[in-house]
Amino acid sequence: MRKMRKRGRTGFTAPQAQKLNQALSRVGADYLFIGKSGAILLGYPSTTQDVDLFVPKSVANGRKIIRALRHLGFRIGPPLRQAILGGKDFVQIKSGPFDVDLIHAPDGIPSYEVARSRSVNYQGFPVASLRDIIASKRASNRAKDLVDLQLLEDFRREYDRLHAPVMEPAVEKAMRRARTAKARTGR
Amino acid sequence: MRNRSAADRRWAKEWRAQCRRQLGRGLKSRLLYGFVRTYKPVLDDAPFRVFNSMAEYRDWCERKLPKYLGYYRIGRGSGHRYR
Repeated sequence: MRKMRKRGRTGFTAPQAQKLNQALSRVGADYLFIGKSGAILLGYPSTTQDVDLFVPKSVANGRKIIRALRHLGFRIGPPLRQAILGGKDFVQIKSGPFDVDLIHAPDGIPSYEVARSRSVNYQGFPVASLRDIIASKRASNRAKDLVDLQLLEDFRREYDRLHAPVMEPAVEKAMRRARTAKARTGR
Repeated sequence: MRNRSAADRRWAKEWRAQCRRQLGRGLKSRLLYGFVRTYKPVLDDAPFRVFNSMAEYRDWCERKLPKYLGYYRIGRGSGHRYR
């Protein structure tokens, strides 16, 4: 294959992120940001160079993904098109303005539907849950991912603390229950 | 975690503080500083690659990529063990 030394290419930028998200949602594609790129969207203070998208194995969804990526300037010839439509487990694309990995079956996650049900939406970006991101990194068992694991776990604790539902103080809860009981009995 | 040294605990505390600061930053900053472009030999030398399974992809990484990129799996004859 032709060598692609695109050293001048920049990383994924904020406008590109918005455009990618808009293009995918405009065509009605099903997708989740996953991997380190997903964690970074959720606030993980680290760096990566590609965008990982978890997409379901579906020809119809594959067509939508291709349409969105072409709209963004990705060159998708017949072999690559066939691979995306065929739902190959891992498709690495570097023929566009930034790098995208399409993952149909990430390690450590039972199915797309399960990941979707646990996903979060951050400012319009559908992102796999941190637990799923960590599970997939752990299952990959790669040296570079294992370096991140403890850091991700620490980050998840801070994330959960920040996003925990507001708990009603015990005194207020007791008073609310007493008021409800009083109203019910009329005394 | 229980056996972390004082230096490790201090570092972990700083890391958690950094996480909280980053959680306070908006999407634009997260993207601006979170995505960088670094040339990776072999990996970046093709317009696309397709793998039938993640295991196939991991095997390819171990056979083709320079070890220093860290794409090898731990404990598969790499001489590395995760502790």
